[in-house]
Amino acid sequence: MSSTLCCSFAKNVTLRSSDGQTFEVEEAAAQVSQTIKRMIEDGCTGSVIPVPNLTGPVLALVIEYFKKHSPPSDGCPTALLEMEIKDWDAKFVAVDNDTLLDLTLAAHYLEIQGLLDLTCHRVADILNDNSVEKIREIFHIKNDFTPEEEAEERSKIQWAFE
Amino acid sequence: MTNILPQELITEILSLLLVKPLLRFQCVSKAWFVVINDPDFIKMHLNRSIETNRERALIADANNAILPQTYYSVNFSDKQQKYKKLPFKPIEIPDDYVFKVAFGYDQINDNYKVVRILKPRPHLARVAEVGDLVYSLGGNSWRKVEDKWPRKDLYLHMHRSASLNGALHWVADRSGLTSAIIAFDLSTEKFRVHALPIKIKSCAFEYNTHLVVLGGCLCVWEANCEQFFDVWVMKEYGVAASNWRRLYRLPHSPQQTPSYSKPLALSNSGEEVLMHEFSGKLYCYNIKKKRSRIVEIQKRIEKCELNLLVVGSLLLLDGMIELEIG
Repeated sequence: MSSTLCCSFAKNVTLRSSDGQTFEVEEAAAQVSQTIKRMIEDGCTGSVIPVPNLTGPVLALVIEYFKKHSPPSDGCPTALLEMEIKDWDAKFVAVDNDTLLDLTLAAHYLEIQGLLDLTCHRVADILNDNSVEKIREIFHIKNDFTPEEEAEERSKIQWAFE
Repeated sequence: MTNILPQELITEILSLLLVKPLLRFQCVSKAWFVVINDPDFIKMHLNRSIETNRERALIADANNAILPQTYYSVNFSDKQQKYKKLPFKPIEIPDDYVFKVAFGYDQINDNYKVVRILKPRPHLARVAEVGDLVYSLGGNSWRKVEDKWPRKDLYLHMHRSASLNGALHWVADRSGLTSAIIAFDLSTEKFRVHALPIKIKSCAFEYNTHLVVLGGCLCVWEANCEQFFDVWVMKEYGVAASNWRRLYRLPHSPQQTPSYSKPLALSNSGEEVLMHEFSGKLYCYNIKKKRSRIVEIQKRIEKCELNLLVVGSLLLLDGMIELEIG
């Protein structure tokens, strides 16, 4: 009896980040994430849903995305609304590189396809415009070529560096 | 968060990049080098380029993409300027015969092939006896095509071939009329004949009939009608004439531009066609609105030199030799 009552009113779920911050969000909005959707369907909504891969600030951003992308209560999204969401999306990923990579990972862990497409394209745009050295910096990649090996590879594709 | 992306995400992101930065990023780390040179990644990247209409480049090149006399084949990647010199194999060319060379990608066997076709000079003979040689870049050898020429009454134009669906296509004439397309399947190495929806008065000049791939479909441009220039598209790939639809029609009027224009590419929406006018200008023509605008490019493309729209890719020819291209 109590569980039936609980479900009919329980429109909100609570998400807990890796650093223990909790966020309340509408169940319908949170289901933008396939991972969370499955957890809700499996009946994990009784208490708090742990999201151990995301820190509080990143989870807060993801919840902003949930809210913007939750299915509209009054049927199909209009063309105007879609345009507005597209603009919002572009601003949403205009963040510093570390935050962008955090969001990409979050979209991957939580299976949010729309956010994953958005962040991957944004990362690709940044990559297209940057040097090899800058890419290593952004992705925290250690250069494991010896200087001789790197010089040789570069000389083979000299035109690509022009 | 540590924000180290897993390999699958790195691969996904790299597949969104253009060829030139990708080649640069081989130098980021050994792991990136392996991903960018992985054959599956290269195919995935090419498919993405075709799907999204990216990496298109216009080659306006008086030297032709393949030089028949010296047997160079050009890589698909537009700015790479990498050529492979093919082993020379003389074929006996009877007097008053010429040969043409075409180049395509055999998707089934994952191999580039070069096809040489002998044909009589157009003003001399009406029947083509064809001696065909296929060179496979994977196999690195020339051999004679075993399949017989499909129809004795059809002879080839010297126009550029179009490569689509693992086959090379040429317009073919019969009794002074362009009336069919001859296709050569690069995997089975067999010829077939595709019917055309119309018959076009034959002319050796490329600006008369033009075969081109627009939006993944074979198109034929007919330019000898008195009043109109029609562009036909093969909606469903097949041999029947019923597969064709008229894509658009332009009036033939010297006052109206663009009129005498060769289609080069179709926009993603399918509504706009990039056209090369005989004068050398490029136009973007909106099929629905029937309006055009001039497309500015840095270098003007002269007259009717060979213009080829290519998709840049990471596919490299086997045993690549780099040459200085002047």
